Amino acid sequence: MARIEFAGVSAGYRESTVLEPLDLVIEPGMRVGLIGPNGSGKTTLLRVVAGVLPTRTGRVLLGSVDVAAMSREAIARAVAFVPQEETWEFPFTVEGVVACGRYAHASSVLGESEEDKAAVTRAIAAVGLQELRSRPITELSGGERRRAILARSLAQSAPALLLDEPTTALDLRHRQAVLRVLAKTGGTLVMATHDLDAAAAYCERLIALDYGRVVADGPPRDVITEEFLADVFGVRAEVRMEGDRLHVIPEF
Amino acid sequence: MKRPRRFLLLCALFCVSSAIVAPFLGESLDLSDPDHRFIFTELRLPRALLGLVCGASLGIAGVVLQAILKNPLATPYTLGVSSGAALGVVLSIVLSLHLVLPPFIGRPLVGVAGALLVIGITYRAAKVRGRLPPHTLLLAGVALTYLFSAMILAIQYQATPDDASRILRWLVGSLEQGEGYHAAAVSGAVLAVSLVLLLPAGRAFNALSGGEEAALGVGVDVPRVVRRAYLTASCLVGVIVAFVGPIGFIGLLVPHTLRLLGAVDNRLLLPASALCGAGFLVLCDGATNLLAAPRLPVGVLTHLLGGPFFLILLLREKRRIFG
Repeated sequence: MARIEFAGVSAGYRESTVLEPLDLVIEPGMRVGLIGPNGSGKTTLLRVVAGVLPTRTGRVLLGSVDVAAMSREAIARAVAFVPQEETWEFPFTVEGVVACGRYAHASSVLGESEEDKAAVTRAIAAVGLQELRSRPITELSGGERRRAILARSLAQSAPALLLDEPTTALDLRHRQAVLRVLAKTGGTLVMATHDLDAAAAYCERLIALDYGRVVADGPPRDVITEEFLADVFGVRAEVRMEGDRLHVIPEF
Repeated sequence: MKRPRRFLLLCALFCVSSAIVAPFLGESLDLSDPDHRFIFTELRLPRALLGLVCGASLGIAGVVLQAILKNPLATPYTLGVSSGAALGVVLSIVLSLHLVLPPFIGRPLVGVAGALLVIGITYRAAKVRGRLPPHTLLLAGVALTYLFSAMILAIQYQATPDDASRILRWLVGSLEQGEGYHAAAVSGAVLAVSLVLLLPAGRAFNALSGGEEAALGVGVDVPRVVRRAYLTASCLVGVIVAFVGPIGFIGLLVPHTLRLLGAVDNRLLLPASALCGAGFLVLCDGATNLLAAPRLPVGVLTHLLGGPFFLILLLREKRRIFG
């Protein structure tokens, strides 16, 4: 398991710079939530770690290795990246989708090894989709599909998971199911999310971004304050603690 | 699919049995008669061999293009590759290239040159930050299809009656213009190289079905895979179109039928489409010998079957998306 380090990293699309130069270290095994308004740079930050988007300046290091110098397969063995949206045009079974997670490990171009099969079975069981493993992904509900895609990232057996809004558009049951899986998952977790309650409950560190800059970084109860919500999100909201749980209650 | 090997074996059986049956469809032959033996060995057999190679090539090209474009309706025709190859061949007909080079060498060369021209233009037109987004690739292909079709019509309109007739016959798509064993050998060699390059990519094509970012996330070198697959499938189609004309819908009919039978995994779908495409085209060609006299070009039959099939697919897509 390796740490993720950003050294003077900036990134963007065409003329616009989305992520201003930043320096950060995410220690191995840490659960980190990326929070901030739409367009604040959360997704961009995940993309540069996954090597999907090149940095404009600086380096992202996985352990001591620069992501830019790694092969795609080596990156996939180090970090499993789940994008915000995926659409499947062809009716692959849940098992088939999850098996895609073994791409970087597969020794054979045609079949799966016993190790691949075991990893796929474990991942499907972890998200509770055993009964749907032969069902086409095109016939699943949004929540089930999200869990299948999460299972693919688990099958990747990478020490770090990068998830872009894993609970968006999910009903309460599926949101809880996804979060329970994440809570049980070992390894480093970096999750971009708008679900502040969930971020506070499941992450030990929150990094808040605004206009591509880190505006807050620390334990959830230090980051999510009423002043922070007013400054960054421009909303008046009450932050209430119930035992260990932090809740954000917006004012209407 | 539970039993992929058994499924592949059934596809191989279909291919082999079609290849055995097809040359005997139509007027019966007495192989002890030297004239009939000539018809069998010099006309029907090379035609069946060419049909096998063309069908396999078009079947596999369909799967590859649908996978990299994430579009179930993508074919070499929607991408303009066939039109590019067709323009090359039409030019070679009016410029009498056959006087300089034997047709089994000259035609594939101009076909591939036309296909590569299309690839070059679409690649430049569709490329966005080093990537080939499926929708821009498809739109660029459609634009070139219209442009090249208009150019072919203009050339045909200006051509001598003999050349215009030759162009028309070729454009319908038929195995009889295939230059026999030579064409089967040349296109067979190109198919063999393409299979070596494309079959190992099945796993990457599976990952690509979830989108470019999903594929990158699991470790697929997407730009490299897409570039190689696009180039290989286009060259393959260029050679086939050069020999037999634009025979449509094989790349759509065969992979979709196999998907309906459960062969969604591209590691299985690629070889299965090659086998069933081969069997299907050779069987269709044999059937043209039974259906009408004089014999219809096989391109007419594949379009007659493919048109309604395409509509059914569209309706299925519509129901899936809009309920």
